[in-house]
Amino acid sequence: MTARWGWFLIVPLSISLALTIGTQYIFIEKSFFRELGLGQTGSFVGLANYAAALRSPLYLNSIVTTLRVSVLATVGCLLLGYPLAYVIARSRRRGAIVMLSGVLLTSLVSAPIKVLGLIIIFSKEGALNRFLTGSGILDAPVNILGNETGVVVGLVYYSLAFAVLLIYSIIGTIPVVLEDAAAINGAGRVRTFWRVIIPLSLPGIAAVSLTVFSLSMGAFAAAALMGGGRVLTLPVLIYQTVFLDTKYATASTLSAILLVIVLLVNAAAGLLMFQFGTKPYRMTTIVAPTCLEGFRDLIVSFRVSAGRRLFPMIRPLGRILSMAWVGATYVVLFAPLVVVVLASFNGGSFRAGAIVFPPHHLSLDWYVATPYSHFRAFGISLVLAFIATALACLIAIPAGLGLVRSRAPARGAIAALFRMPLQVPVVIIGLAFFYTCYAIDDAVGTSLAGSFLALVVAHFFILTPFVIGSVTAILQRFDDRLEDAAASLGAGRWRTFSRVTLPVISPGLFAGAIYAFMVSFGDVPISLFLAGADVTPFPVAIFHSMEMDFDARVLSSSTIAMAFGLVMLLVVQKLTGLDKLARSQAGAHG
Amino acid sequence: MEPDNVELISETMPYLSLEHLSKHYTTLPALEDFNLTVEAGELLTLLGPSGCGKTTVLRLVAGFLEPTYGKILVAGRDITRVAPNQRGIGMVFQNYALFPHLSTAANIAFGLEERGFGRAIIRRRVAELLDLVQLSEAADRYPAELSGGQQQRVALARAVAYAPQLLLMDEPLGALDLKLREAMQLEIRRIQRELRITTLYVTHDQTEAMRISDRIAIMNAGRILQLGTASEIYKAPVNRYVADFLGKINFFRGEVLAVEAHEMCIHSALGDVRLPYREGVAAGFSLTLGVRPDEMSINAAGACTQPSASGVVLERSFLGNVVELRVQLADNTSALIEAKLTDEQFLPGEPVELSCRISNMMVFTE
Repeated sequence: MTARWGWFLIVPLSISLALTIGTQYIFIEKSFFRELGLGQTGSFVGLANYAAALRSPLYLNSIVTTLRVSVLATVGCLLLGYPLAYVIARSRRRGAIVMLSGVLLTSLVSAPIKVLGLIIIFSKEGALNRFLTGSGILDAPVNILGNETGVVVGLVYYSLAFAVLLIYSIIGTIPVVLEDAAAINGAGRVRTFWRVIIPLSLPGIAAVSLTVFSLSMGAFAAAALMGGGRVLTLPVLIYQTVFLDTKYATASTLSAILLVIVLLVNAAAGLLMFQFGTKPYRMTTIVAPTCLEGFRDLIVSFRVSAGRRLFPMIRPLGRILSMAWVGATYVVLFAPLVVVVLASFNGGSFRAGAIVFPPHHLSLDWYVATPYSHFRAFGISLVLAFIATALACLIAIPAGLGLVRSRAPARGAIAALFRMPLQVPVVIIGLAFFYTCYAIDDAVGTSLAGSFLALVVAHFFILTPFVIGSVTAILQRFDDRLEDAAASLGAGRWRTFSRVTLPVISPGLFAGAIYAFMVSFGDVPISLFLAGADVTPFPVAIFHSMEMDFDARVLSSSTIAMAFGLVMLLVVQKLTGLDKLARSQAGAHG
Repeated sequence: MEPDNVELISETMPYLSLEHLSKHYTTLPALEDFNLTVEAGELLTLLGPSGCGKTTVLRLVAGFLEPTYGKILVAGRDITRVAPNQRGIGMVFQNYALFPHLSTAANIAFGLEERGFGRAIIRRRVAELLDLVQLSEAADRYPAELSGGQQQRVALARAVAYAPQLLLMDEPLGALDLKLREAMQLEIRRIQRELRITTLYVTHDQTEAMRISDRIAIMNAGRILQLGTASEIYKAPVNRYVADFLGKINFFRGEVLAVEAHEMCIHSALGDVRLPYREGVAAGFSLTLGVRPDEMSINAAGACTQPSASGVVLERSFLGNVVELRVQLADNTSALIEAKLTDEQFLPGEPVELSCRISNMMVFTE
């Protein structure tokens, strides 16, 4: 029986191998050839480019800066995210759903839009500085735009919501009854946290830190816009090297160095975690960075730990403190978005100077005058996200079934390969696909570079881990006896699949798909490398507009995009009737 | 705290008393005006079907829930608003709730450490407890490496480690198979007696309740229906529900024909019988007669002289010590009989007559 499941892996595996190994090989190969500038490379020079890069103070500085801001951003995400995730995981059902929705909403907003809000808040003449200097708290305005602090803040915003979702799912695996047991054994709230929750969530937290670190190492839009081109993290430097200097071999070399650093850190952490993994108390399994429990819980509204008395057990002071902390985290999460929405109603001139917060007057000027290019970009993004997500779902079902059901050798390695698009910094994926398009065009005379097809394939590639992870997670909890039961009732294999297996895994598939859709819809780095003159996805349009002319209408267009995301979430929850399915599932799982 | 005090605490005379305890949920059934007293050193079991409120009572006593109103007193001290970690109560959880990241010894030591005992005392106490639950060889193993029965014993040792005044047990044996469960019932009883810990025990298994309890409280829908020793409840259940819940029973409809000075004459499927008078009963009343299956006598048709019911053997099951028969009666109801029989006696289809001693008949008026 198990043998046949192995075959399911063949198609996903070949596609994944071709896209991962193929593109990575093409870009790494370039780094071994002489740099001629203007996108040209010369003869084979071995490791000479690497030697040159590692002797250059500019590049060395960039490596150190990237590591520093990534580590700081990771620490920031954990400090802000852990308490919030804990409170959500231990809240009553309705409260948890509301709080999760908030986090999700911010995680689905594209990086340039968040940065836009941050710029408005933190600019020298911005709201925060006017308040701080006006009230006499500070003599001079704080300036975090164009320096490393700003980049760290931008990176925290980039990953925080994702970190909260990941930590939430880890804490969800720690039974609440263990906290009861600690309490009845005399441990107070703090001691329980220290002796039970922290040790049990540690392996998972290590995995989350690693994910956030990798995300930060590859983050482009947040670093480029908050750094204002002055803080040169590796992704920013790589982008400039390709598009401003057109030194393709050098960009390759830098990307390869970035890749090696990220993979080394991952490998080192993996070894550390292996130690955890061999302990008999390994409980929180090392969570794949794709775990979307939070998202799924929201979409299908189940398994949110029901009716926990988080607050009754805490003394009044602790209760106030924890609520204040959570409240503050939400203020932090939402502030840039709210600022963008409110400032978008200022109206008047389209010049950057018109962007003020709070707005001077309320007007729909900018909405009325939304440029055609924004509409077009919006449409392109929608179609792109839809096709890429649909393809990812098609591949995720056989991949998930094969991973969970087969006894195929090296399933762990295959799963790791499927996760690769999340481990490799996105900026490198963009660069690798960019080079690959040119390589194929050169070889067979196609015109992939700058085409919609290239965008679809690259987006499909980065979306697969989300959907595969989500489908795998639900399949692992799938009770195989359901299929045996269907078979004993006379259903053939196909009927069993369509009437039992598919309906049971569909919430996972669906949750993964929605999340993937929004990831694609908000992506900057990949689209930036692959977009052609005629095919510019929405976030790239916003990014260019912010980087160059700063048309005030990016505010109104961004607000429309956020509203669209919100409406889509609501419609999905209402229309699909997944609540019904969730209830039947909740019943089955007790 | 000195080690001697550890012993002293269990020597004092605490008892648990719940006064007018109520818990209102928005959706779940409420606990309403719940009163109960547990004597020092006693093991009292809350027995009832799932959802009857017994776990709610336990969680209120532990402090995981706050009562809507009412009081919880332990040894006269009001602990209603005391945090769970300040209550000094031990608890064995359903599925044990052992800390998966701590070894057996560390699990047992947890509560002692939290209460600030010295290292030497903790080490000695843990060794004592490992001995008490016969797990000395498993001290360094983790919960995942222990069998279900071993985990159960670790949970018990952890709960009694700092000699709490009160022990709560929430379906502690629910996850074990029958043989092991029976062995652990005796083990729990032994340890509870040895330590003389006042214990509130929750289960839905009537045999378990009868085997380990000093007293049993039968619960349904948030109320105690009857409180007493197993034999009191078994022999004199206050109503049909209790009679049916603790042990097997046959019910027969009866009609009061006449009431005399000390007796009432009742017509039922078992014939016309005369039973001691019950308050408030008059001629024409309907009531229910209850007879335990092992109190029924069975005879071949026509062999019976006393008032009896005739019927046909429907099913016959050999249960080892007894044979269980289901007999279909003339009025289409059926009755259950347990008797010591030879393999040839009363095969399915045989006509039989059932009877019962008057003194073994219970009368339920509701």
